[in-house]
Amino acid sequence: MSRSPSPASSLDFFESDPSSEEEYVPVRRARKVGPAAGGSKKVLGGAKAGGPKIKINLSALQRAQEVAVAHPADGPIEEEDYGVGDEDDEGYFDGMIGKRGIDLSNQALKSDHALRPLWVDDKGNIIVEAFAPFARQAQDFLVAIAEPVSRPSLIHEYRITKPSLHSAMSIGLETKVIIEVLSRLSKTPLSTRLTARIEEWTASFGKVRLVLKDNRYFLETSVPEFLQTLMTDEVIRDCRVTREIESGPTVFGAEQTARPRRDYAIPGTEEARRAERGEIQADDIGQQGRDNDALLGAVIGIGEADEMDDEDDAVHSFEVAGERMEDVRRRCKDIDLPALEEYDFRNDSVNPNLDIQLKPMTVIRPYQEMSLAKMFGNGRARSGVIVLPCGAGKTLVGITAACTIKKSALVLCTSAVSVAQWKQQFLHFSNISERQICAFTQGEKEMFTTPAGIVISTYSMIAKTGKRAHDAEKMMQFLRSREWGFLLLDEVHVAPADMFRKCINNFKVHAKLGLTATLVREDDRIGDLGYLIGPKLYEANWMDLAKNGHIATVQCAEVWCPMTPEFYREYLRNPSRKRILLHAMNPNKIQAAQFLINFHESRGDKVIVFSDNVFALEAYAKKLGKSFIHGGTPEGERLRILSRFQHDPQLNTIFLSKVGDTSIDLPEATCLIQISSHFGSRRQEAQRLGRILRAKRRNDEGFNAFFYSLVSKDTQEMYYSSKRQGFLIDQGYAFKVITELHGLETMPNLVFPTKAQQISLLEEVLNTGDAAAETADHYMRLNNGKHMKRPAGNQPSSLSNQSSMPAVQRFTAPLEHLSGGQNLSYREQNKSVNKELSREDRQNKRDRVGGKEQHALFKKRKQEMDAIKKQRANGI
Amino acid sequence: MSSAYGDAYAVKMTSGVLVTCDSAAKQILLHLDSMRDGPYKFMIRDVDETHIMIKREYVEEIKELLQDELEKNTYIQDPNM
Repeated sequence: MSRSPSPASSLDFFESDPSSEEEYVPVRRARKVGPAAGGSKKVLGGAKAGGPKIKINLSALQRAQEVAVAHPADGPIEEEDYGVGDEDDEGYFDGMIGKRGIDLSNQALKSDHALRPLWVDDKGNIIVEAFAPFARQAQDFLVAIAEPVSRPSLIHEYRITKPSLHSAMSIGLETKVIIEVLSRLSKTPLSTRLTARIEEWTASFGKVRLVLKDNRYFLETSVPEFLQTLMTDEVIRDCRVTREIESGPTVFGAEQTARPRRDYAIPGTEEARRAERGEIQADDIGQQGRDNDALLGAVIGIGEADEMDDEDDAVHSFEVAGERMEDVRRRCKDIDLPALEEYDFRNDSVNPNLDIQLKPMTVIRPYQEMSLAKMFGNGRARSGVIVLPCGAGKTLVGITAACTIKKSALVLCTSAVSVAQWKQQFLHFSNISERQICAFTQGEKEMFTTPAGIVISTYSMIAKTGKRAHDAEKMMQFLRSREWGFLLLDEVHVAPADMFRKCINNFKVHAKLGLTATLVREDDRIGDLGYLIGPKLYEANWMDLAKNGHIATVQCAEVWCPMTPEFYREYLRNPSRKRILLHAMNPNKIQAAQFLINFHESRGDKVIVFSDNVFALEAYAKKLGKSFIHGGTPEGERLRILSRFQHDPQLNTIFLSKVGDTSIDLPEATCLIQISSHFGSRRQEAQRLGRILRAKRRNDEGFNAFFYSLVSKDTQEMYYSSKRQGFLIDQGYAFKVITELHGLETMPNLVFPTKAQQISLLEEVLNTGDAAAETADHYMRLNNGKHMKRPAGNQPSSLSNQSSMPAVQRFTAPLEHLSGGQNLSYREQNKSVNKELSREDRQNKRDRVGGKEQHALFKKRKQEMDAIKKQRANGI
Repeated sequence: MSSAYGDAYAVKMTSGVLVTCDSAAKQILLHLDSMRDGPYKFMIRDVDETHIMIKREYVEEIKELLQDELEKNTYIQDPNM
């Protein structure tokens, strides 16, 4: 009766299909699909017929073709899995075309289709055969022009959308190039509808640029007609600034300048190093390192496309008033001529340069270089978003970008901890001096004194409304009054939230770069980033990075823990708020967690256990005798636990609440167990996975990191768990489902082995206050700077708010209940490991400092040494 | 017949269907039953952890209800996403 998640739906379909009696099913289905589409009989059978013909022509590629021929049906079928639902045949088919499926059955295949990796439909959906001979190049191209939808190992799926084409335009690709390459790679001729659509979408975009030069804003375009449209538009006309002194006799009062080429190198790249050694001429830089296959023509590489773009001879521009920038930007969008923002940083003579360079030993990786190449494609800095997985070196990309622009920079991140991290990384990777870089947080409020510098702060510091402390206010004025060359937004997916939007609009910024691992939000705000910051410039393929060893290879698993009957009974009876607690505290789950922790500890792994629910977190940690950190854990204790986790071979497991998702700098762990989570948040799942992606030290065969998600069967968790995995599955991760842990029964010291103990746990769970059922970490919500009320669990006594007691509970029960007759037991709580740690630490310190136990001999020696030191110091 | 009800030792017979299921499904059945009143109750006897005896005429209905209940926890990806 247990139901598997989504994959089952496709199986259902096979079973209910009345016409499939025997044979190889996919082929049958493909054939059936054909006539329904439009009566054409060619269908995918054509693929089969076409295959052998080519096989004779090109024997060298025979093997690859065989794969391609064997699989042509895979494309559509892969798709059908999504659309299936429970429609009957016809309804199902309609649904498939309307949604994500691709139906190309009425299209003729090109004669050499086996060499071409793409299936493209007229809606802009693209399916890539990742095993095809030219899939590699095709993907490079597709990443530029389309949005990756799903990238598992063999069949990839992309979609061309308006924003994605805009991104393509913004990195300098042109419409005709896009269409040409697409039709070359496609197995079928492109439909005219698609080409028309691409032309329509790209017609206006990328042709108009908003450039900030010498502190004057210019709208520039290489197409005179657009210039005319812009200048006759009444809103923009009003914003135009005319300067009699400078404007010469130009067309429409516009200046003409030649477009610059990319004639510098991004620091840290192979190119740059070669250039330093004088091995190549600066002019050749753009072409270096791009060895495209002659077979498909050289158009695929972005580098070449850039060059083509750069051949545009003249640029027309006119100046607009800086204070009316918002109007101009909005108006441009309204009249369908969205303006790209670019920063010509090398010709900016007004803002002082910042002397910052990458240290010579810093090497940036190929994908980092590629992402930066897109940002600085034509010698100017484009605003946009770069998407890299956690642990893949987003920080270095940001730092390198800052080193390329060499102007004052403002870095915004999510917490004070990451502020400190950014600062430290800047100092580590670049030659910037300590006084040029400063942090603006609750604790630190310094300003750099040099003409240019870097300020690192948090979103909430900047976005704070209401009264500020005097020095904070002064700092804000300083930040607002300056002109910034570069705004770097870490974890940019938080930016669309209302309170953070103004961070971006408040400052005078030339170029904006957003960094994130997960460009998804459960609300629809992610689209706003295109307007707030810029288009997506680059998105890395997680699987490729894992394959090349830049991030860890992770085995993902979903462990199904059956609910015990008692818990499930209560689960069904209770309102949904309480349910969260019940499925989190399922005794079978606790046992599974214990088993996995033991197993991985014995392998030598460092284990992190995540729980959103603080009550469950504490209960688990105490029961299993591990230390935990949540929002209420004092800073000192946190640091102590983390450093122990990092260095102490005795402490291999920590429990973390939501605070661990982002705001704690976690040491490298290799195993992650998730026991309760924030509903269906795909971002959280990916972010948590990111915590173990840094684990690359081990070079074992196969997997070197493990990600377990413990799910209570037959509960909401099953639903949310499948939803949460969506993002990672699209990145190519496969989740293995574990229904039974072998050896769990026989494990010594298993927690809650008897029914009686489980029932007493249930009693405990049911009697906790409602506050405990929240998934949110109470401590994270700040109320006038003070912590809100604590949950029912007992806290480390070192907390400052001693006075607040656990909330009073009221429940009805017979008298024997209170005396322990109905499984209510009064017992001593498990002691917190946190406290023991701190006691140990204090003990150690006393040993070291107090010297009570020190032998007299050592004491004497120490005194002598001190005396000698003193003498030396005085003497010199 | 009528006298049989008064007699505590008379054999009472009811036809029913023995349902074998896992413990969670049984809990769902119990829960469904507990929400019903009088003649609509379908449970005859709670046998053990994985067995339950129910009235024959409710079998089809219960199958559907159980399916619906389980369906709530299955995530089907929205194809338009």
